Amino acid sequence: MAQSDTNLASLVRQAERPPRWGEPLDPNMGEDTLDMLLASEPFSQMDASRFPAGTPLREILRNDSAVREYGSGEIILRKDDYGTSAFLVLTGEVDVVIRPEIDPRLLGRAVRAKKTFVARLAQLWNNNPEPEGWRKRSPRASDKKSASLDKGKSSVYLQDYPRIVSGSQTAKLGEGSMFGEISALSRMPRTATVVAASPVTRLLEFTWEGLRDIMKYDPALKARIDKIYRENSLKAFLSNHPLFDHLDDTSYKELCDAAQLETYGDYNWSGAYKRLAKDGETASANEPVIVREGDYLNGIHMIRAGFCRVSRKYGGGERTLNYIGAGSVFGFGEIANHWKKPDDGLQATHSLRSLGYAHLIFIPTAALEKFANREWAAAELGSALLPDVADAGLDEGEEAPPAGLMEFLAEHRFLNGTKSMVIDMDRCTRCDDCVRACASTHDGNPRFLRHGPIIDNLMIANACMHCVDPVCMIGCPTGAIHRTSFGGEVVINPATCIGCTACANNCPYDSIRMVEVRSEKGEFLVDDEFQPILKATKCDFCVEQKSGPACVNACPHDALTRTNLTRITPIAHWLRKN
Amino acid sequence: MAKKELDLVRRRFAGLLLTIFVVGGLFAAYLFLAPLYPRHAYLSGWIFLAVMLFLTFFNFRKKVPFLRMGSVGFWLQVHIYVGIISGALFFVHIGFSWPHGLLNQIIAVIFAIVFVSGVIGLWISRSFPKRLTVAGFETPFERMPHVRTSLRKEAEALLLAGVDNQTSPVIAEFFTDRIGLFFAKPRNLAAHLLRSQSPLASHRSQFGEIRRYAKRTELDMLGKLEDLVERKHMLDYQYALQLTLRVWLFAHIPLSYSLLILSVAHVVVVYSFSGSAP
Repeated sequence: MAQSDTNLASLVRQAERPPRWGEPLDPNMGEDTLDMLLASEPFSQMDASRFPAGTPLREILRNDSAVREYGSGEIILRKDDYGTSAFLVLTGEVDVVIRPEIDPRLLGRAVRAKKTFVARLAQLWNNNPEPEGWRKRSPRASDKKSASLDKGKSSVYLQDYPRIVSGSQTAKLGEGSMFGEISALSRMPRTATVVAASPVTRLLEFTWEGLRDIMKYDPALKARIDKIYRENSLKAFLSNHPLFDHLDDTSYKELCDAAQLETYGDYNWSGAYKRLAKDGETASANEPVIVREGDYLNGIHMIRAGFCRVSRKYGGGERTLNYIGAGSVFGFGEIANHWKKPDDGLQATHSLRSLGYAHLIFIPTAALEKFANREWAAAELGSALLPDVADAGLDEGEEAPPAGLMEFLAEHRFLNGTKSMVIDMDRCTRCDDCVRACASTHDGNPRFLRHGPIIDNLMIANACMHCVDPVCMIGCPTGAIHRTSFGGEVVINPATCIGCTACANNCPYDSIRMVEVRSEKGEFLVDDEFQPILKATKCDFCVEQKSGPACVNACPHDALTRTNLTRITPIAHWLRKN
Repeated sequence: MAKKELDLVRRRFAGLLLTIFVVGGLFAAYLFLAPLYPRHAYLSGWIFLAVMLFLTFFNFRKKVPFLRMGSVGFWLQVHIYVGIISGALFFVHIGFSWPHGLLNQIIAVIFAIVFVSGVIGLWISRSFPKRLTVAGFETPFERMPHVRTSLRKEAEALLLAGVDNQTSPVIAEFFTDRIGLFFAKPRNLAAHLLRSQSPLASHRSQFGEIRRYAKRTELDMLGKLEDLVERKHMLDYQYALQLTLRVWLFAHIPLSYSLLILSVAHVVVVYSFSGSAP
């Protein structure tokens, strides 16, 4: 017994588990600032007793928020960047640039930090001898908590700011206004650029975890954000769509009043999907039907978020013809055809079903007839009476992927992936060079499994797909899992990961692995109760490697690709090329 | 941009055409220029050494996937075509005759093995993946021992659950003598490589035979056991092919390094014993 204890002691080393608030957003947040915040709205209106003892309001503010100061013309958020923080205006004003957008060249996006040639070469001898060794210094640039947030990388001023925005439509937000919360909470890119408009603009920046917790225990803030979401997101979405981007403010208001927001499925759809898969039920039978083939079409459905399956009756079942995501419109072809040939019926020629979670905007036919840009519609539809949904998005002469593949991608929800690992098994020699390459660029531990569901000769490997809707981020208590601001890749910050397994449990594709952390000497780190300290690991798409994903580069047989499955074009193109 | 990319067939055709052109050029140069330059072997020797260094460099390229040096897929294509050219260069270098001297003969034999193993490797890496895909029961090589053990335990549990005091000893004997050892380790590797169905047919025949002596209550268990045996055959098939896809490199790579070292020795020897070398 004593012998085995000695052996165990040589294998493990006790260490402290990383706490949720181990790394505050602003380490210099003082008591005076906290008192000031708690005395001002909306925090002064909140009932502190509603917050549990483990996460009191004061501690949320202390750890998950920071007071930032911006000068006039300083960029706060950039359109299309990803971010995980929301902002509350404390003093001063900000401008939300609506249209036309500021020239992206003026926005001063920082170049993503990549490893230098020497740093890349040093991976040959500098990697930890033991996989997932815990080092004191942070080995990856994306590990820094600030990397997931917006301040610190956006200290860029627009020179002659008034002239730049003079021709743009802007919305001013003053004290007490909140912005950035929709993008932070919905894991979507920023929809507008926001610039400080006052000489001194003070903002309170929240991490999305902090905002989520406050919303959880303060129903008033939740109601307020829901209202902002409805007002802002509807207008922002419609004004960015070519069907309606020609309208003035009055028309927008009328259009927004006529539009209806619809939500299908569960926002946290990962759990539901996992249950279905476990029960062995086919997903399509349980998908909510939005429009049924043959039904009268009384408007169009615009997809704001999530995915829908477009199908047609085939024998006794439904054949998937396409799946459509954010920005797509369903039903417009039939209505436009009806405009050309009023004698034709106005029935839906396809069915539309929600895949997992879908957030839609319904525009009734009457509003469509009044506000739609018919010139754009005519150009978009061309001479075709009805758009061929099966070929939507394909290049000329390019064939759509086989129907079986479309069904497979839809049923497994792989259409959520923007960088899915697809392997042509007819060419893959199972040499695992891709796995070794991944290990050599990630501290000796490969971040994916060359294993996964197979259809015909294609395998969708268990590698992070960097989803459009990364449901893995939903439950993270510390925000360790986040998107990079540029490409939107989902990465994990090991410094703040507390190994709670929430992300791994949420991921519907089994792409996140919990690994036991080791010391630099190879000992397993354990807590006071000798339980191993875990860390979530996953593919980071080699964001720091100049050469791109090592797995793709390392495949000697060009059998592996990282492709965007949210559209059918990339996979169709790759299949044709191969 | 997408349309500019050469598809696979065109890429291979272009590479092959270029290789044939170079090989043809080498042979033509040998036929017409060799009689004019009697010491041409020095030139072809140095080129041959450079080509071998280049071919060996492919393995280094694989070790540094994080360097921007073109994809490994591109390097493999070049490796294959230059490898073919090296064969032609070898014949030019030795003057299409068997070399004299032990060292030279050893080098020639090793080169032949490396070349042939490369050709075999190319053939199996083009043909085996398709066979593996069609066969099903896709299993990563490292997980095969675990899967094999699981199948064995499942078979043993099935037998133990289905056997009681009333069970005929025939079933237990059948398992012990014929089936138990089959689950213990990979079997029939050569048969699987040759796509022979005879081991599976043999097992099916044995199950057919044992069913005659089984009780009605034991038939269900035998059916499940036969399913497990078929899965084990599929696993062995995967193992045989995946093992071969790995093993050929154990001949190709170490011998390539040996060849390189012996070639350097060959250069030293040649220059040591030919005083008037260029």
